[in-house]
Amino acid sequence: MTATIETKTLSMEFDLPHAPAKVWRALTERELLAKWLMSNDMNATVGTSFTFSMKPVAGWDGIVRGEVLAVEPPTRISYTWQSAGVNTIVTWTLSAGADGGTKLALEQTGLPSSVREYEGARYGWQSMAGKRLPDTLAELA
Amino acid sequence: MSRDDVLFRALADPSRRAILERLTRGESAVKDLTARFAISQPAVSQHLAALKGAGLVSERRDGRLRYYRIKPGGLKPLIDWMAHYERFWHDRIDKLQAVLKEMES
Repeated sequence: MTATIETKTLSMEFDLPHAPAKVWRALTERELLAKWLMSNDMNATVGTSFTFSMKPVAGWDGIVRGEVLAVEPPTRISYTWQSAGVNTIVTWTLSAGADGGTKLALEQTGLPSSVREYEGARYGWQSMAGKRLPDTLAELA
Repeated sequence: MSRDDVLFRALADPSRRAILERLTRGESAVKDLTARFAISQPAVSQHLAALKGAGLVSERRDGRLRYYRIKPGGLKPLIDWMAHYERFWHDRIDKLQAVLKEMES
């Protein structure tokens, strides 16, 4: 039996009370990224590779690798995001928000949705995973 | 049986889930697991073999002792990646907000 891997897209939107140019810097400059996301060697340049890293936790090496796919300052940056054997694409889109702020849209494509086949079994799984495992997974990236 | 079926069978047993949960805290020797759970060493070994067969744990031998640890990626089919990343990004955006506040405009 061969399982077909179906994927889903995660879309989120955030209203930030800061100008797009400032948000753009926080999304693309190494030192700023390190403060809110993870240690990294990001070069916001198309075709370059980068690594995000944080403290490893049980079951995860703490590493995210990626390649920059698109950079359009200050409106869009897109890169591959590969971690824990799951390969996704993360795209940030910035547009003018209310009162000079920024509407920040995040889209992550390629998330495996195979878990949906197991709704029935998940109950038992979650009771086991009730405490420590969610903490561990929350650290996963 | 598909790999995922094997995974679910491995996790269907409460003792195996308990052993796996214990291993998320770090590598353990078979004898330590036996001491911790009120089951015989052969039973523990059998549970570990099932977890290993499901790709959930890996084994390391050191002399006569066998150690087991969680195998990265073993739980991949079970993780609700959408929910996981949704939580992850919410947390990160909270931090981003703090960073933006500290930055000069």
